[in-house]
Amino acid sequence: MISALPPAAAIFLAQGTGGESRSLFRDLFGAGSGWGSFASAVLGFAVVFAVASALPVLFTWAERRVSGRMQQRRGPNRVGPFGLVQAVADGVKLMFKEDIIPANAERFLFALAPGLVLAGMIAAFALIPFSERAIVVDAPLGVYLLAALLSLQVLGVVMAGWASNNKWSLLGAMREAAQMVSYEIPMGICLLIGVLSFSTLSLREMSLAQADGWLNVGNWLIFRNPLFAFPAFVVLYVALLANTKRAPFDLPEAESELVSGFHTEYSGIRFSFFFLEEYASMFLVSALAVCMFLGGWNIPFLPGSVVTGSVGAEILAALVLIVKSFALVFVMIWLRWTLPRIRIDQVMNLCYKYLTPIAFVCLIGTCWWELR
Amino acid sequence: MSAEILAFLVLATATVAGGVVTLWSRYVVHSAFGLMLSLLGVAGFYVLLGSDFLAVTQVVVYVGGVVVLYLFGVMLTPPDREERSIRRIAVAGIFAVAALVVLLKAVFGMEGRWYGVDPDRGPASGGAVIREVGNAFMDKEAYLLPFEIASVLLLVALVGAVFIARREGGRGS
Amino acid sequence: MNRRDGFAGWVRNLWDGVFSTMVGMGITIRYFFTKPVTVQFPEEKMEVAPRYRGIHYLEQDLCIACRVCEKACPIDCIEIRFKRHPGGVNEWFEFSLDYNKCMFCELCCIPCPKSCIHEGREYSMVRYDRSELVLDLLTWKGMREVDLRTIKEAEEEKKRKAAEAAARRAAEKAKKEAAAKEGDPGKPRKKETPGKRDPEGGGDER
Repeated sequence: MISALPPAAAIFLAQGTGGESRSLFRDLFGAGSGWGSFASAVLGFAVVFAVASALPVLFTWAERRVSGRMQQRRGPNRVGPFGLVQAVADGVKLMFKEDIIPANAERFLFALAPGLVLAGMIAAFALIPFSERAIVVDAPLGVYLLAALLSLQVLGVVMAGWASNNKWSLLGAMREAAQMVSYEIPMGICLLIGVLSFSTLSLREMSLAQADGWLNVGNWLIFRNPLFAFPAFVVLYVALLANTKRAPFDLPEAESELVSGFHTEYSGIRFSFFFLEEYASMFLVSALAVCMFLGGWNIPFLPGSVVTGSVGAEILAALVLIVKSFALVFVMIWLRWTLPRIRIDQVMNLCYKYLTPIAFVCLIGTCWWELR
Repeated sequence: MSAEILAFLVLATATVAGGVVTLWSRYVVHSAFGLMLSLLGVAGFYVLLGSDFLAVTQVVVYVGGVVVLYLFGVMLTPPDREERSIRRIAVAGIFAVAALVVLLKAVFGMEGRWYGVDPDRGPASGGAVIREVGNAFMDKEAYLLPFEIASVLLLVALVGAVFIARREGGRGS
Repeated sequence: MNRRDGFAGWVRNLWDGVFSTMVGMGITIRYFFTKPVTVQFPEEKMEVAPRYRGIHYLEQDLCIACRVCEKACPIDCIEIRFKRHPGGVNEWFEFSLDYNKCMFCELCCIPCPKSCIHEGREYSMVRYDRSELVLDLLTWKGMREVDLRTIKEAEEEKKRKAAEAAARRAAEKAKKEAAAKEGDPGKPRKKETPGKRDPEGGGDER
């Protein structure tokens, strides 16, 4: 069946078939010393990289169009139909801009930071199950690994902020560190709710477990356990919003106070790495929330058994996941153009006094719900 | 050369280089980033050895947590201009040599392969490990008591931190 | 944040936060579905005020090249070059306005005896170079067919008049001679008058 697919999709789908004794190393390198599976893993990552760098193109366009419409403007509409190619033009512009490293910057760390941030994000992309078999690395530890990779982002940001040798960059980095470390708590707890509901860490198995049910949505976590999983979903969404440094949590790059925070000194292609990371991680965290709470690739109102198995079904499933994630990304954009940036004390208040207790209540409630 | 050996060598280089940077750098921030590299290398070793759970935990706890807090602390602290006294170096040297001896003894006393997973003695991996770890934590016969003691310790630390943070300000909110 | 104590205060804060966010999102989504108010400038233009003073336009066929506007302009941004031809025809070379200088005071339009220069509704003056901002208001340069015809007619008319005058003179002369022959020299001799002012008079070039 795989041979019937176009090559890229075949690589995409060839990964991630279940087994008993699985480990990340064996997933990537094959048991023993399989260079072949290593090569296919590299190709898988290449596909993921392409997806991860194509999405920001779409999202920057969406962001600018949506923000335009919310402000009764039109947004970009000159380059290509509906201005769709605008982001490509901007990307090309960024590539050809001068790459400046400030004289007093820490050259090595300055150059390393954007790459670190981007690499972590792309690695995390490999863990998203787009459909039952379209997943680059189906790690049994999926969610946990994803949380680890998300928590790695902060290091790149702090590195960038420190290496820039600029007070605004440093302040932005400090805020980022404080914010990330704080919001990891509610985020982790909410992810735990998904984990203990499905008693698996694998995002793929979670999505599988959410198939069928009433109208094929009944098994989605927010409908299966509406009392606790829905607030948990909201808390997770807010925490992920903070994790991606999106407004109203964009304190690390608050342009009205910190110029542009940790990437003040960055220009050209290095800046575009940060930019890429921000927009790609919007999709990443949305996809994470979708896989856990909104039924992953399962199509609403259409029983999974009807469309399982064929290549078309896999592609349809991937599209469904992408559409669901886009919906969450749209809400992110919507929130950004609705809410003003909140103060750092409000950020901390929200995290420690509101989100964390709610998350704990939801966790305990979910325990009761599942043991009921 | 198999992928495992190559991965081992790369990881070993990264770990040792990170350690060297941690020790020898004149900037504390560089030390922290060196530590990050070293810890990531160790996490890579865990992956190589087939214990993904441990590797991810290493990343979450040490790289994503401890190093970030180090960096946070380092950035808030003024640089230490104190001279390196002979006494301090001597004390550090004694500990280093002792640790080295223990390590070398462990390395030379080791059986089986020096890299990667021994096919005969590979650990259970993936989801099974998590289940085992979880069961072990909740098992009266196994680690329930240490687990609970650790939880209480963390709770005490948390309460203490809150207490210290609130003592000076007195304003509350 | 308001000071609200206890669990009830916590719940109220939470409710306020969620509720106000929802209200805000409601507003933004409402605007999301309204039509943008943007005017796509080069393609669409906004309607200007009824008495807007924009770039001038000249009703060239009315203009008599009296140069009053040129004299009225307080900053000398109007420049007119033309040549007068017979029959009141002007051969146009230039009627330019320097919009680097022009301040749209409308003082050129007020004194125009033929009301043929106006300030229009066109306001876009984007150019790549300042020299391009010196606009010529002429709709045609030189002369039109009709002008040439007018000149020709005028010249023919002149010739005809001249011929007529000559004929008249000749007739008069003949009359006079006849009278003289009759021996009536009483009438003084009339001074010759041209039938018309010389139309070729004021051609002026600069």
